[in-house]
Amino acid sequence: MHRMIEAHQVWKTFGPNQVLRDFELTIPSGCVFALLGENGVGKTTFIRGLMGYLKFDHGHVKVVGLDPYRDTLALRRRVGYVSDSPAFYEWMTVAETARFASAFHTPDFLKNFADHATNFELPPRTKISALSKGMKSKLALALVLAADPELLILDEPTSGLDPVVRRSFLESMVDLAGTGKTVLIASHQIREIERVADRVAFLKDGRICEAGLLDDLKEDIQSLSFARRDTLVSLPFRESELQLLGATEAGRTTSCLVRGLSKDLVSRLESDANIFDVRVSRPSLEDLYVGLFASKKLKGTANGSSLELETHP
Amino acid sequence: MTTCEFLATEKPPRPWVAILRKDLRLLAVASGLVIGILLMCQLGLRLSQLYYFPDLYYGKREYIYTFWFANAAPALIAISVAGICAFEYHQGIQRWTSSLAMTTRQSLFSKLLGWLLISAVVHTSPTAIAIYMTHMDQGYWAWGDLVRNGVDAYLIGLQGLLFLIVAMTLLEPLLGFLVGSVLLLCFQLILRNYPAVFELANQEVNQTAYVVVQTLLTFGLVFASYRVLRWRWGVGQFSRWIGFYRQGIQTAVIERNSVSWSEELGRIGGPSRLPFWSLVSQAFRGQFGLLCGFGAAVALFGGFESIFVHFESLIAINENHPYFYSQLMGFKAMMGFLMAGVLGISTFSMDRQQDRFQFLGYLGAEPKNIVLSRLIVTALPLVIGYSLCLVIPVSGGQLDREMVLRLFTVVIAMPFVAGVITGLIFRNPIIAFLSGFLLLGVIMFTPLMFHELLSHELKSQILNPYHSLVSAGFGWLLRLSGIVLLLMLLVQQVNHLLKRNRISKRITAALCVVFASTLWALFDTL
Amino acid sequence: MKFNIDVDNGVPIFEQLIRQIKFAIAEGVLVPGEMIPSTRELAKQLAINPNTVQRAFTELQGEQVLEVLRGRGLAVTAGAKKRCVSARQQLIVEQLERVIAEGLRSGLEPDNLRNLFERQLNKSARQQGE
Repeated sequence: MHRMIEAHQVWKTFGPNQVLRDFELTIPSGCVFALLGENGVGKTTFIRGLMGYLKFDHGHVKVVGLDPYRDTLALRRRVGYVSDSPAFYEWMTVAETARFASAFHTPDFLKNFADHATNFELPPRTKISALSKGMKSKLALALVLAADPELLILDEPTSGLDPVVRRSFLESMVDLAGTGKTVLIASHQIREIERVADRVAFLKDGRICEAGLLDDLKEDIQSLSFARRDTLVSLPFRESELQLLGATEAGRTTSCLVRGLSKDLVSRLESDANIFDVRVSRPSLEDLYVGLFASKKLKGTANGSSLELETHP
Repeated sequence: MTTCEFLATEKPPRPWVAILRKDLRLLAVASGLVIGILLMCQLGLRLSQLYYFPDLYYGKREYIYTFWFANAAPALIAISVAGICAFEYHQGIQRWTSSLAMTTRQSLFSKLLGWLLISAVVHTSPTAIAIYMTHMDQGYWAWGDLVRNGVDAYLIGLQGLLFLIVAMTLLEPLLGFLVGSVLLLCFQLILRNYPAVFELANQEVNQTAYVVVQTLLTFGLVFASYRVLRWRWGVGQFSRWIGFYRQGIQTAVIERNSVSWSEELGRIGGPSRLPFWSLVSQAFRGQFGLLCGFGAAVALFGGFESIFVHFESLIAINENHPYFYSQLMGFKAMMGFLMAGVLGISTFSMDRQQDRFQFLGYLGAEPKNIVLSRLIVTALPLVIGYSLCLVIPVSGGQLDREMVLRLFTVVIAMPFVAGVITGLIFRNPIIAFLSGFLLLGVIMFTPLMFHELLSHELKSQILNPYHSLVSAGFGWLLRLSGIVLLLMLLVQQVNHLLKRNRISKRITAALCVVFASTLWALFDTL
Repeated sequence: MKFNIDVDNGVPIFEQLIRQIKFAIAEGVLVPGEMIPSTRELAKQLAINPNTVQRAFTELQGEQVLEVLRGRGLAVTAGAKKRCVSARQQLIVEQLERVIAEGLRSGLEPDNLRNLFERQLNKSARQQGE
């Protein structure tokens, strides 16, 4: 499979803040790839680095086969980028903005733009300053789509938009993906991501902590929950038997995200006198997200020896 | 047509054409303002100079002013260019344009080109006309002056462009403006201290630097320090204090409510009033940012004034020359004027705008006490400034205390009173500000105008230092209110008209120009 | 036809698509020979990933519910209805299994459970009769 974005051992530090640490990511072409993570975890930094707006301290990065910092111009002609708060000249009208942008693209640009703008119902003679936030986002997307990019990078594109606008935004994004283009999207809108993405990567502490096909992740990782009659009695399994990704405890109920859950272990749990209400389910993306980011330490005991399971091995 | 379909048939412009068109359009608006400012500066200076030296520049005085102020144009347009750069950078527009594969080089070069083009229009043609006129009449200036003068003006403009773009883009724009101006000033001082480096300097031409730096610093210092203080330092600390104060008020409300409950229960005691001193402290905290801003502006200005003295002596204007004093005192008077006016206006109209009068009234404060508490707070710095004026000898002993007292009355007390009045009348601070200054302009200007027109024999009296000072302050007052007026016209009115789509943009712009030139012509006849 | 995708119900999206298409065929909403929207169209309409739609279609083709009409797209096969009806029954059986397991786990006796089932069945039949 052809690789759209390759990043190896990327480091980036802002003053005392180490934003990206040994960041590894590969994005194959023709997929909708979602970057997920809490605010300030380095998504925007990574994306800006991909577009050549900033230079990574260290690392090897290739976007559409180009070095973003050296071949910036060639790269920007082939990659479309919509930032979280798109800014244009406020005094231009929509049509003027398109004309201005068309100077830097292929002759088809205006024709494509006219199609997309008609689709999005953008008013051509309205000044940018009079457009709502949703309209500005639509305009940004229309401008990017009109350039017919190979790779579309969207940074929080739907934050602050109303559901209708968000939906039409997603529809056009999906439409682009349907033509075989690659989309990289950073977002907090888990439900949307779950619909549109086929690959996801979770960022934590400046590096990727989980990445892969969304369906594979959901198959691999299971959400296990059980209740304990006595929380001081040991759990019937060892730490090494499964990979615990995250856990939350509410009263006597423990729910955790685990990888490599065996039938044997489930039956052991079910037959344990201390444990009841054992449920194993396929996690939704939201479960994965919350499990990975909002989890605490799971305190349990196994075989009489006290052990503390960390959120991540 | 409601859709963008018509675009499909259009031909895209060339990249350079698109970039240049956009930058020129932005710069044209900005330079419209610059021209307005220059016209008003020229007018103000002309008026004040008329009082100091009716015979100093016999004959073609207006050409000299044209010459001076046109020289400031490249530097002032450089501010607009730097402002556009900073605006594009800080608003994130630069990220968009660069995502269109527009290079930084293209973006900067087109701005440089725009700066050159507009500077040529605003600077070179008026100077050429002025030189032509004087050359024809008296042979006062030669064409070589145009070149020398142009080189000087463009060099300062280019330096300003460089410093301001870097500073305003890297720093927060206003702070960058301040830093850039200071850098320019230092650079100029260094250059002019070494005439060997800067051979082109002569007395006339050096006025360019003087005018440029003066204008830059006046606006830069007052507004930048005020806003920087409010933003960088003021807001956090300040809102915390406000928060504490609100809590205090809430406690007072609760107490008052409990008192009125107790009244209902038939006990002794009327509703408690908000104590007067708590109103004063609230007013003080409300104005704290503004007071600090002005304090800083005055302090900074004091520092720069000493540089100016040095600067002026370099320009070979004798320190004992009345022109020198009148300029310096004009600055001082303007600062006091601005401070008094803005304090008076902002305190009251802001209070009104934020419905603080109602709020405090609801809490049980009497209107009389509210107004009084604010008067105390805003008049305090003025009283301090006044006493400083009395203690420190001004103008090398040219003024006695009695004159300072009169100066204070005219330059500080009058704008303060006018500010308070308009602040109480208008809710919107901007409108209050504009009308306050216009009101003052009318009050102060009318008698002098008649003075000038009617009584020629009183000219000797007008020329006494006190009058010089007042009129120097006046010069600045006029410049400022002129700028404000133009700003109002250009920004508020144009916007207003455009929104309603009644009059087209070009007609409005033409009207603005006609209005400005009528004003100019009107004052010109004095 | 109208699809209803719910990302939260624990069933993969492509699985939901498969089920809904099968149900639609079993109900007779989609008849043999009828064209199905293209991958791109359906993805756009539902705002879901095109690869997900493709996966559902591939699986339906494997089960011979859909077939490729060259140059025209996907259509419902002739024998699809029968297969879909049995698939639907299979799903109902699975759901019943789950309900019974839940009931047993909650401590109900098989007889109690059977009574509950009978009562509910009668009630539903009566409602449908009305």
